[in-house]
Amino acid sequence: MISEEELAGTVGHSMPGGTARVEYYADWLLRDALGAPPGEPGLAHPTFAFVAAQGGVGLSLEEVFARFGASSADGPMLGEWAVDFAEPLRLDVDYAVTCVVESARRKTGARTGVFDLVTVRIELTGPDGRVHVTVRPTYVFPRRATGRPA
Amino acid sequence: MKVGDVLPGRTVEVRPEPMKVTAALLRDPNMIHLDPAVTDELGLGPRVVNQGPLNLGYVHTLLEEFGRVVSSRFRFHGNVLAGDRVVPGARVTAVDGDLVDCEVWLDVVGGARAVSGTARIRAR
Repeated sequence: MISEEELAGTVGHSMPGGTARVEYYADWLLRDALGAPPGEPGLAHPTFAFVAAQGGVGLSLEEVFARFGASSADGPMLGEWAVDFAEPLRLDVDYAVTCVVESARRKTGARTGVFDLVTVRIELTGPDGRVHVTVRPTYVFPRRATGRPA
Repeated sequence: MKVGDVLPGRTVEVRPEPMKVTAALLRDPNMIHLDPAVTDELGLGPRVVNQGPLNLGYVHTLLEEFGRVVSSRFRFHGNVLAGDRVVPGARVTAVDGDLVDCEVWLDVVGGARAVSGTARIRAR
């Protein structure tokens, strides 16, 4: 288990980042999966911000977990998720994606034991140079003692 | 819309097939969304687990009926499984011009609240 100091030291660190582009067919697929009707012309379903942000971080989920001394075998969970749209997410637009660790803190629950909460801020910047969409997932990393069942 | 109004959501039957598409879209390799043998092995029972983005997506879909989503915040409380029936909902908490704030949720029919949160929409 990484130390509390090491965990706190991840705050401010950036992920490689990358690009995101929501294509019409992908938005269609997500809407179909959700049972959602067609949206406003040219605009993606708001939940596609999740897909675009995660896909633009520049790391696989497993690699993201590894940044915090965890792996999928530890049972990490998505505890919270937030999005702010300065502009709606548009189809067929190239966004630059940046990702930085915004907060990382250790907590202890009576039932759950020790766990870490890590929030990253993922920004999608449009061709005009402004941040259009900000996404904040908060991951929960259980920190079970070695040998205890997962 | 006015404070206290409830935006009623439609019941969704959670099926495994959309989870497969969503796993591909998310490039999510977690087999608990795909293979019931894996969920069974993990002690979760023989039903695959719906992805979190789908759970909040049902709420976004409800909100889209009334306006454009400006922001939303969600907290995940528990798993939604294939075969579950879920209902998204929203209650208006504040109105400022065309901006409408809501508390939002996703409930499992006959079960617990799976997702709760807040959202702001720009009403049509």
